[in-house]
Amino acid sequence: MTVAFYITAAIALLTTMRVVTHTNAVHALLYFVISLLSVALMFYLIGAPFVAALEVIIYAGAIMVLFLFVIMMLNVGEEHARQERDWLSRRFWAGPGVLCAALLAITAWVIIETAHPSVGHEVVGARDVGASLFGPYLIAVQLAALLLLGGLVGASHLRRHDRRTPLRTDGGKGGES
Amino acid sequence: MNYIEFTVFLLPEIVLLVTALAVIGIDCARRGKAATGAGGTLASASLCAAGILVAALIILIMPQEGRIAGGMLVLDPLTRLFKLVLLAMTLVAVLMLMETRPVRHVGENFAVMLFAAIGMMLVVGTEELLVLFIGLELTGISLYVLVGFARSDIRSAEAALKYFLFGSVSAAFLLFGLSLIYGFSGSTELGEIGVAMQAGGMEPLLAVGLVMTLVGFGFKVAAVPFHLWAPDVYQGAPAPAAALVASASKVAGFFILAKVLLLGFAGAEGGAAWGGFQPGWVPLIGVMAALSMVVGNLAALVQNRVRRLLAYSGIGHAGFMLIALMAATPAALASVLFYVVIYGLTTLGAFGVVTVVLRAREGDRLSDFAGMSRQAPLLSFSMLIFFVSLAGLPPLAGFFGKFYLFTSAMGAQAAPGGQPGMLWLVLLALVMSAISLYYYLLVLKQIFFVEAAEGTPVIRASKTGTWTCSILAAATIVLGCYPGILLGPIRLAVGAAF
Amino acid sequence: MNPTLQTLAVTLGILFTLLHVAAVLIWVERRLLALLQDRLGPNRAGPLGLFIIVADVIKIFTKEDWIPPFADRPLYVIAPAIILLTALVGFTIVPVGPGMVVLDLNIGILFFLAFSSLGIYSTVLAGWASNSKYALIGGLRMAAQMFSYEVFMGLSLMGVVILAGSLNLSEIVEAQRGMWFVLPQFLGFVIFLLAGLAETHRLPFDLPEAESELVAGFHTEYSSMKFGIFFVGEYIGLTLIAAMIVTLFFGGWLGPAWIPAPLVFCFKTFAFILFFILMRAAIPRPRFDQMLSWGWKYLLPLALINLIATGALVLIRAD
Repeated sequence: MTVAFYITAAIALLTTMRVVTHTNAVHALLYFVISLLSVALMFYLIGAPFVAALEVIIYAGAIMVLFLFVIMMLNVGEEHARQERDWLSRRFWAGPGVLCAALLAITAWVIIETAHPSVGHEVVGARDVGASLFGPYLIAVQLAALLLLGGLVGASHLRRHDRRTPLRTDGGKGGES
Repeated sequence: MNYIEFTVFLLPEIVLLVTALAVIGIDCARRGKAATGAGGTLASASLCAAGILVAALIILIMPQEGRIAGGMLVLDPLTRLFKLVLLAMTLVAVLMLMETRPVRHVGENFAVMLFAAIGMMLVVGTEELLVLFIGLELTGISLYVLVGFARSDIRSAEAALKYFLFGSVSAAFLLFGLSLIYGFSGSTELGEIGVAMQAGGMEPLLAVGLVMTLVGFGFKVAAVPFHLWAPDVYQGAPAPAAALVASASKVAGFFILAKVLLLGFAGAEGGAAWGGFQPGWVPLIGVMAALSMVVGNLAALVQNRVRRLLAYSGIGHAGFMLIALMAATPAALASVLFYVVIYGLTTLGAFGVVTVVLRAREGDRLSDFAGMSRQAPLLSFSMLIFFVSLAGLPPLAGFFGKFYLFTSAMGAQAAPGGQPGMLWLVLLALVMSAISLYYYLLVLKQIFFVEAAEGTPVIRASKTGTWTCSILAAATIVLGCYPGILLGPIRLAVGAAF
Repeated sequence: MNPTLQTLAVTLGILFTLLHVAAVLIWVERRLLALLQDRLGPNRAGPLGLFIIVADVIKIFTKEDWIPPFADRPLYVIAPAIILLTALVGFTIVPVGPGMVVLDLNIGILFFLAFSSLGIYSTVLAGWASNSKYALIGGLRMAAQMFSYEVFMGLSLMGVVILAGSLNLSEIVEAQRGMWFVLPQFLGFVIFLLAGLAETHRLPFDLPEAESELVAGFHTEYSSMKFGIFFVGEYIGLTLIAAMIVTLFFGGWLGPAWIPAPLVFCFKTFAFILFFILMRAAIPRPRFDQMLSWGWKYLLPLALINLIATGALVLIRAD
């Protein structure tokens, strides 16, 4: 189990790196799907099968397809890949890369330093998840619904076509709505 | 816990939610007709105002106090007071939105504003990390949309995109940090986290969690080095949205930051004194405070657009408030909360004046304010009050805000077992305050002493605009003369809570 | 019998049956459609034209395996593999008889939903990787159709989960001893049937490949065995949906005691496959926007109502 966990974790890390570094949007997205699948497997291995299934159904199976749909609609082609390659020059990634590496090193050191109990001896099934969502976390669930509603109203506004007012690009003049 | 209790605790928020849905409903019903025009705006605005007033009334008369579901919802004098403050600020933003040019689908704009208010009220009324995060996200998403609402304006889109990118990355940091803290303490309730921290001491895992959490909150309160979004958002966003970001969102941000630091991270303060360094959140806040004061106030000197100037001055003010947070005493907390409310009110007023100028002159350069005192004397006088108060000159509220802020910080140093090393920061703050006076006066000079150039449009304020700004200015004067009417309740409530 | 050996036997049995069913279905579908449309269908090669299967296979294998030079090569090759893989893996949780299941998972239904949603990638990627406009439109349609219908596919099953009190498919079958769930969950059954048809992109929901509009939709550019795998994958997906309908709503392997359970299961599943083929002959294809708006405006609310009503009734009866 432990070996399987670390192999999956390594796959998740590698594929996530590829998501960032890949210049082809669709290929990057597929690496992301693999990364999500391996995270799901990790959830399964530490005893959370329900979360694992939701991860696959919602993230890998629905949201990523939505992303793919948008990329296909935008018809991202070779030109964008070239643009991406230009952006991947060293002067752009060197600084953030160093900072991220530092953060990674600190986090890794911290996790090694800290004495922590091992996880994964207890399997949390769908029934337990449901019971706690409708028990102690009831309020959080309801408020999350509110969050989604707010996002929905905002999104429905942003997607609306307004042909009468073309995009103003004169710059500098005020921004009143 | 049952649904009835839950509903009673959330009644003001539910009223706002129902109002928001009703506003959207009206908007949809009018879609068949010409959905533009002032009629729709007036209807939506009055409905919103009514909803906000009802919510405020409920908070005022509701005797309910206590905490349910492990601190997920908390009602005590302090949270009730700040929910009222947030409602008042949202009301002003709604009135400002009425002032801007009527656009299509204005109902959605009002509705999203109410969603932002709900989010901020949730943030204020919780002591639990999960609900805290949901509230912050609700606020964040609503504000991103509000900032990008003027879709015909590319600056608004740019501002929204920058705000969104910064916001989502900082939310990721916040969530990562909170999850590490949960991993450390085994609880999502602030009180229990504080207990675990006092027992556990400063572990490396906790340190990483602390830093990441502070990154997330640093974005919310626009402290250096997490301030980069602020100038673009203040300038690009529609003025009401920018006003909400600058005032209410900041109040909520500081409120919850103070609560998290003093309740949740109690016992992990550390020390920032010269030679007395100890790991904890105080040194981090200290660095953020010093940087914010210096960068904010110096950068404001060279701005030639008033909204950018307000953004940088806001960063500077965030630095002042962070100093008192370092003191970590109830007195200092009361002074921070007092200051942030005063700051929010004056910034709201300043943005109100800017809205009027923007509408008349299509810009907010310093020169666009020229000759304003002749054309709109009441507004110009209000602007004088706001800016003098922001600069912290005596008889106005801003002065007392700064006074309490700095005295409580020094008091914390003097007290036995208190936080040493505050003196240098307070001295720096005094210097920076003096510098800030210069750029506020630059704007006032344009308003009062420079004649408008030939052919510039005349600034004409509507009744609502003038009244709103005047009331805010009057509040600034009254709070300056009798700071006790706000500080008293805050002190009482803080005393009850800590 | 040794449990490992039994699992192995079940696995191989299911795999063997499935691959043959997929082959035989080619013939069944063509003959049956011809019958309904008053034609003869393939009747020359061998008895009843059965050897058409062999002829088809030979034809597909010997065709030139052409990869268009403008295609995205790795994705173009992977795409057909995904549909076969997800459909086959989806079968692992279907119990064909008491104890006869490859993976007796506690989250069986979720596992099925997960793999059926991963199956989308096959068609969408095929459409994208082909780099031609008909294929792209087919892929886009597939993506939109899938995530519109997937939403209530899961919701429509939750009524069954409430009644059975479990996500495990074997337990769900056992819970139907008194009454098949198709009666109390008729609405759920109809919604799942429609969602399943959309998920397997069968007529009347075959808009991603709609040959009268899009040449052949997402697999326009495919030839030889890659095309063949799409074909086989589609049939296995169809069989999977039929098997799930049987398991969830028609009592799975439950039947007269004198027939072996797996046979009962196969018989029921085959009946549903025939039903799907008949649907193809009987119903015309809707317009794409009509199909999406039905999904979101009628089927999704209906699925929610079904879920709430079922939950309420179960609660009332429990008191």
